[in-house]
Amino acid sequence: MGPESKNKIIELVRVTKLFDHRAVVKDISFDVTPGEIFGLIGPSGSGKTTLVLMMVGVHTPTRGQVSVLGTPPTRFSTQIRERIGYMPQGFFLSPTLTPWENLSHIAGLYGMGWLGKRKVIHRLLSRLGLWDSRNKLTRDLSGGMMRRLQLAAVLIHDPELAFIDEPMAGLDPLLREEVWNILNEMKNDGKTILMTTHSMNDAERCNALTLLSQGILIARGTPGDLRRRAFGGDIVRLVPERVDAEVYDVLHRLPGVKQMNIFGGNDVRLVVENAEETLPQAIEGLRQLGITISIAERYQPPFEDVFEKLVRSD
Amino acid sequence: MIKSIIRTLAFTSNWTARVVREPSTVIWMIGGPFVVLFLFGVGSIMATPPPKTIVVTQGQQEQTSFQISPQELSGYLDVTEVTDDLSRAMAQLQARRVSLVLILPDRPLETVQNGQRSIIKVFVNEINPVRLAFIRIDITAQITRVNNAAQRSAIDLGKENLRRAEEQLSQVERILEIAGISPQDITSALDIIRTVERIPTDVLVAPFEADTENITSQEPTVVNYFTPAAIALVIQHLAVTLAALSMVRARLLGTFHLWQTTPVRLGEIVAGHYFSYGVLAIAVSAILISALTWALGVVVLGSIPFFWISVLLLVLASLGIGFVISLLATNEQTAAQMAMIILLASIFLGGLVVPLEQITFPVLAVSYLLPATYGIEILHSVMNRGEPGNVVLYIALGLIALVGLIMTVRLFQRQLRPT
Repeated sequence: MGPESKNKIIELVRVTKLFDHRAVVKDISFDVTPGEIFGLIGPSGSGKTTLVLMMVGVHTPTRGQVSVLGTPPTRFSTQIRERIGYMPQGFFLSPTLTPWENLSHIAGLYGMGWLGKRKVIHRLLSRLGLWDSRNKLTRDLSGGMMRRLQLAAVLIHDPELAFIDEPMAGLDPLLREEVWNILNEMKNDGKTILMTTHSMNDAERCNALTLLSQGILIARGTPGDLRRRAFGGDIVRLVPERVDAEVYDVLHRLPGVKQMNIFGGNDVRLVVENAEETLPQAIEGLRQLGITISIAERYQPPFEDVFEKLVRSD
Repeated sequence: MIKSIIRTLAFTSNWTARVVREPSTVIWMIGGPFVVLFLFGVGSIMATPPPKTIVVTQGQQEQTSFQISPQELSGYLDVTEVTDDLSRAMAQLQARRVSLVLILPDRPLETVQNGQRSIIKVFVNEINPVRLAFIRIDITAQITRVNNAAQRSAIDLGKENLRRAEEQLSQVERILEIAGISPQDITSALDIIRTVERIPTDVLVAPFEADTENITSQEPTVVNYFTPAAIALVIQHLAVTLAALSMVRARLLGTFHLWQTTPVRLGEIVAGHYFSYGVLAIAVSAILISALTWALGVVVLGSIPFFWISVLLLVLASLGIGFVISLLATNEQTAAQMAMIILLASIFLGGLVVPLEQITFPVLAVSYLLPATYGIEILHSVMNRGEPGNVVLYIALGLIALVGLIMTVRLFQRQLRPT
């Protein structure tokens, strides 16, 4: 790995993993810079969890190199492990212990003393809405509560880098928002989060994304980058009072317009180079024709559509 | 009705599929008990062997036909030595190299002629009440045989005396016929007759009697004898089962991934599990022995530190076996089944049902692979005899614990290694 890897908290170079001679991930390369929320997105079976398990040192790559905090995960020292948190996709805590006891055990694994961990457990349980259930048996918690408890277990030692596999699974929209607040706080504190998700809503809120399908890297970049790549540029949406040949001609002639689609008679979608530049020009052109516009906006298509387009185009 | 049958059979197909997926569970379920019972059947001698006996002929001078010969004591007893050194014989008994010391009576004929039974003193050293009962039966049978022999001698002697008396009385009769009297002959004949008359019928029927004395510190009872074995088996089973299920559960729960990604080291995981389960098993032992002392009046005759050392070694050895099972078993059912097989083997081959002396090689080697075998032996010594027991037993138990620990560490290492 080159000298530029100093600015990369995670770096994967041409990583392949075979299980029983079958490639689960193939020739994957990407890097993660400190302080970002990095999303690994893709459908089930796309290789997200395998990549995470290689990054935390559970699996070794068959080919290629993985470096986390400047060290191959299979050679992590105790000190490096103390800087990392990992939340697996499945439930890994003891069902017959209470949330408090489970967190206390995990804190013990990180060498946290009784006094130190008390405060942290109290804060995390309160923050994640589990304080009132702290003395219930974990097996009696709801699915969403168990997920939050797992998240608390990952955050208990305040890791510098957290690997979180499907953190939002089973959470209702309010709790999802609360978890996002926690993740953003961590990011603002300079922590790095690598999360896997198949939820496009969550993917959209990451700073950087890597899209996987069937073990292959399909696309990398910010959510905006991926959206532009999927649709060939920015999308401007206009709903004028009417769309006739005159309107069509004005919009079509605008600079940077690559494509124009009309839905439902007067719902116009322009694929443009730069929405910031084209949108004012479009409004002005239509105003000069004396056309009233009910909607004029930079349109963000649902990320599901982005994902579908990218996977299909690949 | 058909739907009801289909719903019922849904469970059958479910369980059949599970069994087919996990054949090891079935193999352990059927094969394990079969192997244990097979070993028990081929390796154990159910007939109790005659107790090894030293015959002491101390102070015996009289040489008459009424005298007991050591050969007459064979049959129900296994006479290994005839000696006149009582102290050496008692030392052999104390060291449990023989089961009995039998002291032949001095001048038995004289005693019987005085109207008393001649006492054969027997010393035993046995804490097992069942075995003690067998020994008492053997002694009784042997004394009956001796009495039969004595009766034959007595009858022969009586016949001879009566013949002599008859001769003397015939002479008296002849002398009386020629009017000559011989008072001395009449007195002698009457003496013989009176001697026989004086001996009680019970003594004549059974001139010898055994006086058996057990030299152990505690009178053997079923409760006293089986308590140490029960404690050893409970401790072993508890430790093996706890450990056997722990790792399987952890692996199925995904806790191994947690250990692989947190700063916890292999040594800390192993030590943590040994310590926590060890404390639990020892606490249960403490409660168990307290309850037995309180409820059944069981006492520990020997040193309390030796009791706890043996319990600690037994716990460590059993935990080692449990962790090895746990790291080899693929599911909880197999682990539980393997733990049950260890218990079954310990009951049949550990010296509880059949004493170890009645188990033959190579099955005896299996017995000595089980921690409970050593635990039962040591706890019998400490609790029933008041002795610490053979140091070799402690060393062997320690070795099993060490081998278990090494195997646990190796298997853990392999399973925590990145794949």
